[in-house]
Amino acid sequence: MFKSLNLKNIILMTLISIICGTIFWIAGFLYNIVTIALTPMGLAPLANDLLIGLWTMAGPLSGYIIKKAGSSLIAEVLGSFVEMFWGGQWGASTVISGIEQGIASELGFTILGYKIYGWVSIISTTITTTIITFIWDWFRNGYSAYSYQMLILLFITRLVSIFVFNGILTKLIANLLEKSTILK
Amino acid sequence: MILINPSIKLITVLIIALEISFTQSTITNILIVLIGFLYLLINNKITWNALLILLLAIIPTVGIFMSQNMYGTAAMGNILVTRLYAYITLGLTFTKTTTIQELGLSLEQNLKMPTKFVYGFMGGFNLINYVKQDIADIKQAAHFRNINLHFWSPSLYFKAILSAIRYAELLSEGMESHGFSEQAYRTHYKKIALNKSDYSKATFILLILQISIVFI
Amino acid sequence: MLQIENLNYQINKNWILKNVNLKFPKNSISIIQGPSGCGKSTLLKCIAKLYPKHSNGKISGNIKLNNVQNFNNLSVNNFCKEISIMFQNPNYQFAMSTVEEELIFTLENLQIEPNLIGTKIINALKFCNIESLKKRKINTLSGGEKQKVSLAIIYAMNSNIILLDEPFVNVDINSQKFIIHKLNELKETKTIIIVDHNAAKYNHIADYYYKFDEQNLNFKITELNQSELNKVSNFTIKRNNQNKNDLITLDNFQLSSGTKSLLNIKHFSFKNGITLLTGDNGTGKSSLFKAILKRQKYIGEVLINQVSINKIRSKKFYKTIGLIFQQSDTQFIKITVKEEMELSSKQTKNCFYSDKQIQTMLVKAGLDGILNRVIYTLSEGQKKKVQIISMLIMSNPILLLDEPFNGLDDTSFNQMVDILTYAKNHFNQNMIIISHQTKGLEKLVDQQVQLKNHKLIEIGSDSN
Repeated sequence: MFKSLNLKNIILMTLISIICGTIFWIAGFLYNIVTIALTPMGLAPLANDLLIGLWTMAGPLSGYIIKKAGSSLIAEVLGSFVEMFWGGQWGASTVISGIEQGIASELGFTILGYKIYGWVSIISTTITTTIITFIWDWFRNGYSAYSYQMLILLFITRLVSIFVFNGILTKLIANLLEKSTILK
Repeated sequence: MILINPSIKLITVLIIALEISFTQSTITNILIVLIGFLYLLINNKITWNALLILLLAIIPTVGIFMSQNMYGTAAMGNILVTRLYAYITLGLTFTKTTTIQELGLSLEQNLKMPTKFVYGFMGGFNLINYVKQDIADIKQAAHFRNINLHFWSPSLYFKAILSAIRYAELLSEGMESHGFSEQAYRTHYKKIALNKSDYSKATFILLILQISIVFI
Repeated sequence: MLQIENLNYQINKNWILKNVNLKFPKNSISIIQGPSGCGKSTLLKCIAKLYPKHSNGKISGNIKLNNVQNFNNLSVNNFCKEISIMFQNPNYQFAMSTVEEELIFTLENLQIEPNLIGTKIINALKFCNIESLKKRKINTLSGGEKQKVSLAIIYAMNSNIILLDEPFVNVDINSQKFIIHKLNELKETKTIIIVDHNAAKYNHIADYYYKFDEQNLNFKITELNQSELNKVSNFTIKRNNQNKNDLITLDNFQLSSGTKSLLNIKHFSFKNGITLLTGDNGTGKSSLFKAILKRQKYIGEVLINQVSINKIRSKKFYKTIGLIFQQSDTQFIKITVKEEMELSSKQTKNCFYSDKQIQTMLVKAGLDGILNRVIYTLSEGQKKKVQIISMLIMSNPILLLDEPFNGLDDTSFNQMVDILTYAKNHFNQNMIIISHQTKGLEKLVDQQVQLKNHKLIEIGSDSN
């Protein structure tokens, strides 16, 4: 499956992760500020769901640019290594999250056989990413201890965040690249 | 100085991180933090940067406590917080004692990872400063046209990726001009050793982890 | 002996090279000259087997080394032992972090026995006098140092043929002289082919000169044109400098790049009008622009119209001063030429140009026919023109231009000089122009400032 990715692709995926990381550096501050703001209401984990669309952007973005099997997954994993060495605030879990989020967004493209990249694919990647990451967090991040109202709030927030950043923003970027004909 | 083979170290750290993701032993987590801290101390790697990262973790820590107290359970709160610090310490024990260079060589020589991944990643990673400069240029070019580009502006990513595509082309040409090709045999100047002792060290650590989780 | 036979290269439907027939004898240095954007680099990359692989062009014809055809059967690492190449922009040629690591990487790729690698590295560094750079991170080196590292790697690869593609674009004069001297040494055992838009610097070491034939899209052998040697020179300024206001003032100003000191100025003012800023490569002209635009740290004070730049609010700052980047691509925000122009028209605050004047400019520059083209598909020259005009429309009272004439053919150069002169005369726009080409700028430029020995000096003024 990973045979068709060539050297140029891999360099590009690494760079895309760095780009997302650089642009989100500001958003990283945002995460901390939003967390602090939401803490008194006990809604701090919401910060995670609000911004998750940003963290997972490198995957689908790579998927649209390098339309090959494995590009989302590898991009997320490479990105997690970049983040870990670059000053990761979340330590070793970064790589594990990277793998998990990579699989989640990769499946969105796999379902469509890596052939459909229009607005349909936005729906499929949004759904797979939201559901899989949510299930993961259920087991891993103590979501299982929350009341069901809280869970619904977290789920909806996550869905919207992923739809806006992984879906809409990513597709807009891909459209611009298409228009510039640089993706021969 | 390499005390334990980088690939084995990485795999061990990841296995530990994965295991504690699904187990709920607060004591194990605290143990990991302490041992990790000790490891860093021995290797003289407690830098200001490391302390800053540990300090920053207070923000999500307080957040988790409040949230679990109000909508969850206190026990879960303890688990999550200690787990968070365990993750961070684990990450630091790895990144502060291994360079990307060493990890790359180890992945190539010991895990036989395809060289296109190892060197493609390293090559890309070494362009970090150029990418950062680029993004600052793009933002300023927008300012010259009285436009502000933010993290929600598609144009910002579009321009940055345009540059990235060009860099990837230039770098792959550059690497080929220095003799690199995918799947070709390469000699190795610095050998990264992989000994039985690496395996036994890893097994020992993981064994202690299991004991801690099950019995304590 | 390297032979090119009937080489053709085309991209989509456009011919880049047609029927190129060249012979490069052993132990010689050949210079291939031609304006920017012609097929010279393409030729080198075809010889280096990088094209058409890394491009979307089609190639036909033969490239023979010692009458062995095509070397298509040689693997990449064996090919590098025959032919190696130095690129124009060394920033993206290195995969590894330090000089030593890149040398190791290369020699490992070439399957050199590990116990021989250490010695080869020492010899390569010695050859280029860069032993002190062994553990340095490559992205902290100057342009000249990076090319010396490139040369050391080429030396270590020990190829019989060495290609250099515009190697000195960002290299300071001392490094340039050193590298040329070293190439002369290498000539004794190797064949060297250098592509450069200006051949004058090689007149002591070159054996053959070729010039690009635009009609036939191939290369003709030629003699070194003596007039080439005079393209870069100071010209005397006829206007007087009285009644000139201070535009940009530097007070107790120090600028450095890493540990290297670039500028050390007690007091200097750029005057209003059009200033030409010259100086050798790597002396800090672009860095000076960066400092003025608050992108680089400096010591001291920078004042625009007597106000410190730190006290000017962002919006006002960008309304007052603009920059034309050295790389065209960096400037563009939109996709098509039309969109780019419309963006400027919409966003300008000072509105120098009426729609009619903009249209006139576009026609003069030959851009009116390509308004719907995607900017990124244009030639370098066309991009430059779009870049310049889109920033002129923004109507900044002060415009900084970083090598705005790079890549322009003679016709385009004259068009742009006319357009800039129009801006000067009709809107009193002030400009500081960095340009290594000075011929043809006489009617545009009011004064010339040179960056030399870490200082700024007004040329041709009374106080010289």
